[in-house]
Amino acid sequence: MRRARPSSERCAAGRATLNEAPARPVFGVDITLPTRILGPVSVLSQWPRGWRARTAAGLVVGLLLAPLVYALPPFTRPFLWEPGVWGIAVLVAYCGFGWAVSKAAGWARVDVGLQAAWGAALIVVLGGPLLAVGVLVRPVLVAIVVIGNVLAVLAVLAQWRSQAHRAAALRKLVTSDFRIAAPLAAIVAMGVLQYVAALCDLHANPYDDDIAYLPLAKRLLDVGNIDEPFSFRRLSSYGGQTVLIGLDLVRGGFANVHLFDRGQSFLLLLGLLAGYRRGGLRPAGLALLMSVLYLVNQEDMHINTASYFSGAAFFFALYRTQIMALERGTLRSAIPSALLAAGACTLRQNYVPVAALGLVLPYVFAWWDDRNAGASSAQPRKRFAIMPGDRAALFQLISLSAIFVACLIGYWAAAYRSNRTFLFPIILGTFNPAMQLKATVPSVVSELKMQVSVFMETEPLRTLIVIVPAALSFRDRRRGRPLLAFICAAAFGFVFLVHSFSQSDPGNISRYLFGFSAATVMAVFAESASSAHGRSHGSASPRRFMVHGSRLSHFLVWTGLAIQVIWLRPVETPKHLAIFKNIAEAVSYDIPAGTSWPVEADLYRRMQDAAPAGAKLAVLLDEPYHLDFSRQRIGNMDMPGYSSPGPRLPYFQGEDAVRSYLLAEGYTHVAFVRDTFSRYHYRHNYWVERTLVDIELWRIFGPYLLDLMDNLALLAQHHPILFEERGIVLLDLAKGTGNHAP
Amino acid sequence: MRHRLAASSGAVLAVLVLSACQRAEEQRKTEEETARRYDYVAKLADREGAKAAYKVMSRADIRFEDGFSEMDFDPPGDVRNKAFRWIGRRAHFLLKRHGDKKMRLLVAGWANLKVIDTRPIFSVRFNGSIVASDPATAEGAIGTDVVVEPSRFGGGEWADVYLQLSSVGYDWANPPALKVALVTEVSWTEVP
Repeated sequence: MRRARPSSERCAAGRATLNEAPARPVFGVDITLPTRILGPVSVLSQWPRGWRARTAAGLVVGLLLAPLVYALPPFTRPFLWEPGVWGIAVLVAYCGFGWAVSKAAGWARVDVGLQAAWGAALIVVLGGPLLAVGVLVRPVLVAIVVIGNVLAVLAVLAQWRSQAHRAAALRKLVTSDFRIAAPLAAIVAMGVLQYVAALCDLHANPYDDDIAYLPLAKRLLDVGNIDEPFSFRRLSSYGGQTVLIGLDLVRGGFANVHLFDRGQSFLLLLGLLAGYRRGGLRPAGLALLMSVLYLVNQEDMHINTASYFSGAAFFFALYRTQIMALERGTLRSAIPSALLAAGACTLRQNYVPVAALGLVLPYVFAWWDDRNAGASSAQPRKRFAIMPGDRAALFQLISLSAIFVACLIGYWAAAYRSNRTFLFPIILGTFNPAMQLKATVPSVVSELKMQVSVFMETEPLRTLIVIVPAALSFRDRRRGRPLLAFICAAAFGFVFLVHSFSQSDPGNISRYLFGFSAATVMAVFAESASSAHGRSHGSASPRRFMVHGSRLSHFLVWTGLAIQVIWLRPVETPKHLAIFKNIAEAVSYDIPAGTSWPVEADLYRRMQDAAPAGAKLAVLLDEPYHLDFSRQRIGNMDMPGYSSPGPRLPYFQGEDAVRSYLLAEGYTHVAFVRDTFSRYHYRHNYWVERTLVDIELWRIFGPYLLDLMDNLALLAQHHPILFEERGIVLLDLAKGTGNHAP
Repeated sequence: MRHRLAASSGAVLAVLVLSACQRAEEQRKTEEETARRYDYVAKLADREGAKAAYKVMSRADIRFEDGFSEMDFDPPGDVRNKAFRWIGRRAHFLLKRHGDKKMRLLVAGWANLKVIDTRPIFSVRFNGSIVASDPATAEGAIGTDVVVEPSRFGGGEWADVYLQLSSVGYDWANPPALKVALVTEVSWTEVP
């Protein structure tokens, strides 16, 4: 590990280099971009000069633009290549947009991982208004990726000389020191393996993905919105994860839906870890390797395509950005923080309090510390009085919060359009209050028991009990105490989630916690590794850059990591075996050109063709993502009972009440799978068992599903069946008169 | 000025009253739907031949808490078979008040005397007070059938009920692992 110059010094040097280089006209035209957007720097100041540099730049640009061949209309392409290569184009687009963010926020040099995270956050934020007006269709998503790639090319050319120097320095470092090269090679290998494994895992979760998450992504591609008033999954998420998955699916397929969270987001997280440095020091390569092992060598929480690694990447990027922005202290430099916090909010609803607090708390701490520092030197003052000197800090805090809120407005509008709420579960919207998520008979003791058991049994991060107390003993001397602020935000999010979802069990709640828990652990590892490394190398960095902890606290942190990696790894179902099995299966697939895959797609298309175009169609199907959402106005009743528009779908009142409600809401047709044919989610016996035996969450939900399935089956006895094949039934509710029809 | 203040206060009051009425109406609808759901589950258990499971599942007025195992079946694997929950030294459940009605609490179970090597005392503690305490029969049957006065609820809506076995010392082990006693029925019905 090498000692680098302090970051402030380097930044200043970088700025000087960039500012001193004159803007040069290209083909007689000065294409210096407006200084308000890009700062006082010409994008051409570092343009490659000389034939060698230009040849190298041409190669790099060619490599960056090559994946865009997949932006062309689809033609016959190899099964795994298309999503794999397009996924790389999407990653490059993240970097491109991230470069635009860094310029807008006045950051001259940002590492690739952070740049990509900023770019992903910008895409998510831009997606909100587009969702709200319903135009985020396939061509728009393709255009976003293409624009991002063009920006990435511009970024490479605009920073060519500094990037070339960094690449040369890295090459020298790697080739000269085996202690750097070996961990780096291992990390790169794990990243590639995870990406390929994500690409090759062709199995979605029938419980969540098939009935809800994938149909949301398909709706996005087909009609540009995710308005699903019947969908609990839509109600309980702003849809940022769907937007990012949608970017992959425009040129991939529904067989590769794990690419975003398990593949791209994991790479984002690796990039963020590798780019981390404090006071001019990177964590040791071995420490980075151990941190990555911690992430990969654990029970697989990815039971579906919801946010796991994406949440971890966004939160860790937020943490890193906050440190930088607090050091610089300007509002402009904190814009990426607001983007990341807003982006994290859209990934999962329970991320909202953590993201909001993660954004605001460091500024509150900084303000408080500044006041106390001032008070010690000046005359005593009232503790909570706002003095003239506080106004600038308060203005910054309020402005940042306003930017954060502005970034979310698009998603709020889209959520309101779909489910009549923008702040679930505080404002219920189309949610059914009879389906509460808290335990029916809460008590202080049961609440405490739940909180403690989730903390002690959190999967897969089972050593939080060691790592978090050790991290709390660290002394964070940096402005805003970002590590402490981040731990506080995560702790609040933890307690709030467990409190709000006490019907569930520790195993399930752990999945919702993973994003910010993993980010917190990564932050602790990175700080501990930097601090220890700095001490061992006699770092002369200013103390304000550093986090200090006793030897015991560092020892506990790394012991927690080692225990997780060595003893708590999954033994019965090793993840690495599953990865190689998935790869072997995926490469064995031979799908002839022009055929639908899987075969159910044809069945669903035939069913849909039997319904009139433009009609409102309510569906209760195993795999509604095979439907064409532009053909009919489809309402997906994925989890009956939780959400419904208007005066609520009536339950336990017979089939006539259901029919009347659906007709009143304009749904003239209904498609459902008979419970004796359902592939997975709508099996009768399965839900009878869950209703009678399972945890309270499913005991409450089960009767709603069974009742609706019973009623639809009864309606099928009295209404024209327009289509029935392999258990999939299409009914015309407008014809026939319900139960008493002849 | 006074008239304006009165008018705006009146308008705010009207909005508050309307909002309260709406909330009350919403609450009423929610309670009705919840009651219909519990009825549906009772009929479902009947229809599916799972009456035994229904006797040991949480219902509208009974909630099984800690100390009870998950539901188990004999033979295992089907909710239509004999259903039971293992218990250990103590098992906790909640009972809901039915207004001012007298209630009958019936608990039935079995203790594995071959493991316990004695006839344990089976006690029922209702909101802290013992309402029944009997030894297991020679065959190992344990249980109680008592009438509970509404006054035992105090002011609360729910009462804590503990089942206790006097001869089980391993409190830290999970009830299914102990396999010392089980409950096959808990019913809570109004006394006619």
